[in-house]
Amino acid sequence: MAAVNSHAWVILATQWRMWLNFYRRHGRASFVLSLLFSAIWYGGFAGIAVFAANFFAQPQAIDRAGRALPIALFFAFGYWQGMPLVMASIGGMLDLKKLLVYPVAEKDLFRIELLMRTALFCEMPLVMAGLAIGLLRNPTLPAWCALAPILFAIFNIVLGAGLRDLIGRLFQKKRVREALIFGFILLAAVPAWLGSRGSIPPQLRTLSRELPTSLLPWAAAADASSNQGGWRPWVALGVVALLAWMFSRYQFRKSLNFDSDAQKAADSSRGLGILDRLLGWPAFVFRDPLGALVEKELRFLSRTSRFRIVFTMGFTFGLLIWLPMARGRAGGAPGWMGENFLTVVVLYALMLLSEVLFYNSFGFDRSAAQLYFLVPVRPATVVMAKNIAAVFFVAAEVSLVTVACLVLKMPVTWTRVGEAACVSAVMMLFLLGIGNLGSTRSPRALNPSDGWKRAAASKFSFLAFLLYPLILSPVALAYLARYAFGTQQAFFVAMAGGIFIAACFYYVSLDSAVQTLDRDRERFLTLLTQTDTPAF
Amino acid sequence: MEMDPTHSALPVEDSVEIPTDAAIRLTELTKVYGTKAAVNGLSLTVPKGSFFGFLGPNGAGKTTTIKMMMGLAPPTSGEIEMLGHKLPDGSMEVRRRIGVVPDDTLLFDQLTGQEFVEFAGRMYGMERDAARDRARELLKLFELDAAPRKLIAEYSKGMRKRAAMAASLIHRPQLFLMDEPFEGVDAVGARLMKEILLDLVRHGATIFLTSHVLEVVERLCDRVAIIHEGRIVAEGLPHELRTGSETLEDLFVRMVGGARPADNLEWLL
Repeated sequence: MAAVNSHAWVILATQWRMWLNFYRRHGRASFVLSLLFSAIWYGGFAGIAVFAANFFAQPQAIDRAGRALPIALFFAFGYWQGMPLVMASIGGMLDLKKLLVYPVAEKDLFRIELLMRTALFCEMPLVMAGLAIGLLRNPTLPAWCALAPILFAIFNIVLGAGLRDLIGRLFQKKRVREALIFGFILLAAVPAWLGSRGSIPPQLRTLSRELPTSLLPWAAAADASSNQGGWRPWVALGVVALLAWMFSRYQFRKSLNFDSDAQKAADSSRGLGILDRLLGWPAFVFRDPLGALVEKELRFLSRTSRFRIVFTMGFTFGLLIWLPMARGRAGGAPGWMGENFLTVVVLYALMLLSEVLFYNSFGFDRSAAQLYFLVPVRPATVVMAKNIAAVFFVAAEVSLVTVACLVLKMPVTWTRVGEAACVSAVMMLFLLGIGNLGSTRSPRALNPSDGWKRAAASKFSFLAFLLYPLILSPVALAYLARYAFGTQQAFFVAMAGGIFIAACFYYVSLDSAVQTLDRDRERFLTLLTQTDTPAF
Repeated sequence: MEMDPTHSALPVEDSVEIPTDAAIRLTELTKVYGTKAAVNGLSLTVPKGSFFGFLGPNGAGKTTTIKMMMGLAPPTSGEIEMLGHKLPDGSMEVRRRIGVVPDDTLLFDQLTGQEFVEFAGRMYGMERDAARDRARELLKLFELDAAPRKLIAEYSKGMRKRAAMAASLIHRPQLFLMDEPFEGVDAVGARLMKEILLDLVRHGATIFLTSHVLEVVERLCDRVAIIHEGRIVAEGLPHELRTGSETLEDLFVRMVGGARPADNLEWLL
């Protein structure tokens, strides 16, 4: 046990050291800002813990808390399980597999993992400690009620470790990783969907009525904390904690023995799909080297995890997030949003794509960037190829959004499709122009298999965001023209003007981007050779 | 720690026999990825105190074999015995007594060289102060002490290999498993590393290294094995394996297939 403690302290101290080094590397200002943010963040949770310790010390606390306690514990459970999964998915945790070469036994590594999780995600343990202290001080409750939040905390820590191992392994599988990230993203749309409905769906109500809720861990923990329900909540809490322990132990062992190379071998043994074959079309349309470059871009982007996620989000998540507003309340008129749903979703999809398709087009294939200067290809051809690939994917996205709208029986007419096409053309030309400038002036090295991190440099993304009102002004003017003249023709005439202005901007930006590539190629290549993010 | 430039390998007597107490014994070791056997029924014995070179072309199964020996990849079948302990049962005892230079994915990028080597020492059960002192000395020895605040993430490939080697030495192990230790290391760094390794073997340590740099293996190793498509195709003393004036490179090419596919490309030649 002494050896476990010794190893645990060394590993915890090392993890802490890595975080410090990581933040220090980003400069003094960033380090101070991170410290300040951490102080506010953990200070906030410490405040909640103090509040819980004081509130639950009062004799009437349990009556006053009422149903709020199980709900609060449910949210604590959600945060507890969700936050480490997010951290693991972006690679922000020490990989215990790296410790396999050292003399640390598997069971000790498991205990170390639990310790690490408690120390690194200490927000909820802090709150539970506050709750336990409050219950202990409460004169109307027996002292053992304070054990309930502690047991609930143990259950959460152990379950979280198991889930993290399971998800970590699933993330190693190429398609499953994308599906999981996509699932998490879709989950984010659920509150907006429920909120816009104004009421909980009857099916969910039925489900919540019929579930033995008192046996759920958060409800059981609340009952045990408030000395209600006799022995039942304690048994429920004990059983789920035991099951969580067994689940976690099993998952931990499986993860330690998981062979990522075998998984990669299985992933790479698949042959080329139909999509891969279809993406060879540029060879029939463009002459080389443009054709070869466009084909390479299409193949590369279609195999990039991050691109696939945002592309799929455009015609799924994008639709879901706006659908409730478009449909409005039951029986109500669809309104402006309902009538212009297709255009709104297309615009949103373009905004989602902008990070990966426009703003940092050299970032994903940074190893290829040097090649562009070594082979006899003009920089203008390279940039054009990237832009043509972007146009192709935007057209595909608009088509898929249109099909999805038809499936959902949203208003889709030829006029609406024309509107959406014009709006997306204006926006795409502006984004291509801005992206060409940004991709050549502020390139940033990226890991293409990483699903979540920002693609473009933060400052550039912020600047581009500020430009959105300007980009969208021709679109707004076209809608204004339709309103003022009362005809659809006015809209299309105004949009034609918008497309002309956007095309002029694109042309100027392309010229400028090519000049930058010629002039600042050393700086450009240096920026692209810098690694994107730390690998813990 | 002067190295004789004419030195081609450790002094090897003609009648060297495999000692009964082998440092490493692999029996029918197999590792299958999907439908492909990366290592296929490999059997090998590495005598104690030897400098063993494990050669093979890219994708031959060298790294897979060494990863199984390090306990990083479970074998599909077969047995691994190191320092008298069978894996996985005796893995804790083995880990205490071996030093590993793995591929660089096992380094902690967000630590400095000093922090990483010290961390390794403490993981092997050393006192903090002792680990710190030894880490400092090792970094100096491997000439990594010039930029103490530099993170491993910012190291060049050669520096990463030297840091890994420094970490593998900190607990004075008896057996070293090294995966391509000279990859990306410059000539000066490689010379330094070779001198240290030769000294270790002279003092009784056993070294098992994989490499595709034949010149290095020829100069350092007293025993070699060549793996090709997951199977051992040659094993023994270098001078016994070579025929006539054949070099190790000639032997290697002969064993793993040295056809010249470019002969078929008339447009190229």
